[in-house]
Amino acid sequence: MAYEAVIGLECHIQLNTRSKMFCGCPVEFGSRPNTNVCPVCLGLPGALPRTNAAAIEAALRAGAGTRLRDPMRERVRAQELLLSRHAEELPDQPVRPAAVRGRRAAGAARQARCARSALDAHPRRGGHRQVVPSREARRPPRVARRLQPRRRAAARAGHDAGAAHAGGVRRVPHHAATVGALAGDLGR
Amino acid sequence: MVELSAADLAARVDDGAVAVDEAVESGWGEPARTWEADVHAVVHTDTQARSAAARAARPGPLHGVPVLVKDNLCTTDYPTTCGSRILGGYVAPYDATVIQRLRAAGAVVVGKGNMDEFAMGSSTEHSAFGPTRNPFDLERVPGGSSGGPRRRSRTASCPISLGSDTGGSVRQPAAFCGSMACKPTYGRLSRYGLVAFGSSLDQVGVFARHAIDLVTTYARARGAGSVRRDHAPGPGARPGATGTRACAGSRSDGRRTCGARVSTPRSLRRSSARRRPSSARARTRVPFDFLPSEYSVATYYLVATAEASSNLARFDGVRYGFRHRTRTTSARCTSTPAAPASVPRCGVASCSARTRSRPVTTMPTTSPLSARTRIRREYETAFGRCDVMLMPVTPTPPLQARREARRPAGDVPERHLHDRRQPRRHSGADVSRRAHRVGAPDRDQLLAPDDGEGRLLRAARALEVDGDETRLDRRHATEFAWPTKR
Repeated sequence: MAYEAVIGLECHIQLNTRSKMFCGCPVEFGSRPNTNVCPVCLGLPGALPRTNAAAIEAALRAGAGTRLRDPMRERVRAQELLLSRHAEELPDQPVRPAAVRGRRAAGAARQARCARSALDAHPRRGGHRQVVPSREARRPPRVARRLQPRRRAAARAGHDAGAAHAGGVRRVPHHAATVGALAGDLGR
Repeated sequence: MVELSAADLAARVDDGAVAVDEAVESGWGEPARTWEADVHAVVHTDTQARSAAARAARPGPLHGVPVLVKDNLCTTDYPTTCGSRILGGYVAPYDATVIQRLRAAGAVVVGKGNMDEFAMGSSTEHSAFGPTRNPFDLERVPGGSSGGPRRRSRTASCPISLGSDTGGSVRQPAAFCGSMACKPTYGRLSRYGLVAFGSSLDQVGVFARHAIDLVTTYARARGAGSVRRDHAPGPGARPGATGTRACAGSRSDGRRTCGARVSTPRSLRRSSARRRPSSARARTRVPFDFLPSEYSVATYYLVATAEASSNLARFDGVRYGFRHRTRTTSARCTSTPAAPASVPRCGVASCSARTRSRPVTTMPTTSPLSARTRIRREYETAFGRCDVMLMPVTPTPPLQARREARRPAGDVPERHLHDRRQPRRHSGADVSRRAHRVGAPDRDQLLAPDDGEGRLLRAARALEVDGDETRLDRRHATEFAWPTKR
């Protein structure tokens, strides 16, 4: 029986914003201890986060740089969810990705597909974002049924994860850098 | 001095007729001390902190006016405990924006008022610091969750106080304790520094004995603090739009100065008419049908508990929180020994966990949010036919103390009326009417559309009855109530 390995890779990029994701504190390195903090980033009771608009812009730029599909349309959604009053006050709500389903040519024969570009920062500790066992996990037949189309699609794409990592995904930060969304150190 | 309005008190302080210290301490001698011992409205106060705050008071429209603040608004000079031992001893390093604003206007924060634990309740019985009693009848509850500020503002010492309203927590205690309160449109007063219960419903509210004090306090409390953009300014934020002059109106001629069509929905009029003399019913002649959605209460409880679950998740015993060895996980995380049943009773553990455990790819609260939009539209339609609605605040007089604890569903019927309009999120403010008289409850509220605070406060000012500032005169209201469409 032939198996096909489908491996997802999560690629983190440090955005080049000057302030933190949910407050106005600077992100400078080297300041004195306890200087670049405020009630919001300390998560004190009563403090309200405010989403950093520059971070959303950067995520969209990264999406555009990796040719994610229709970033402008996704931008509207991102604004709805990230910039609206409602969303900013509900940090525990699921956040939709800033852009989705793009691909970036990684070479003549291979492509690295980029599933989504999402902002990944949280003002609170993440202890309550636990993974809840899904119905699929409890019902193996459904798992197979749900995953089948994805496998077929992956097979059609004809790429392998190792090559993708070597050639494509690792270059995503570079693509992001070219559109001005990335902070300096690519190795982080 | 305890009967003065905030504006009068500030004027006397400015004139030098009354010292700031004197104004601040006026409510802490006798007989207020005896009342406080009976009623237990204040959980944190301190003579030294009061005198320090009095010394720091700045000249302004509220110069030297003592303000009692609900225990879930952060202040730097008193602990902020939300009526719970989870936050026992926590002193915030910052002032909530509304506190900053009021301090800048000269007000002096004199203490923290009792509340239901994390604002979950409507009787102020479920506080870790002990229950608060109704000042008019110690056997009854003062309403809640802002029962402490309300009680104190009514009886002595504080012409104004601040509370918070998620599902009626300002309006209902104001009705039960017989004073005025204003719950502004969502977002119009900054919530920065308000420990959240239901983030999309919470709103800071103002209590006062006089409508004019509501106007002054609201006008001063709105706006941004040191944290920029932490409130939604809205169309009413234009300079002067909701300023004191615009809201003030006149009590002499309600019809002309109010300039609003006040109407009582027929469906709600009947429930209040049972308690009112027939002559009053006869004068209510506006053909106005409006029955809020039957899903309102369900929507409120789904939205509020789901958001409370998210907001209270941080109080899990790691950094804040009380750990208990024997209880279930949810009880261990969220309740304290003094009020063990309050938070789980509100269904946070069961209801909201179910709501939030769906896959993250779907918005977990889609149905309640859709219902909320529908409810909101119902109200918008209704407000096309009148400017201000006049209706009862609650369907019952204040409950007997401790009765609520014996009922599993507790305050659900009690919250029925205000919850019906709460889920639309952009509730207008309301003004409650005079003290309850058991057996003949006599309390009304005005309800205005979004950003209708100016209109609402003008109407409240116009309907305020001379000689009894906490009463609204329904007769005036019905005289000029008239629908736009037949």
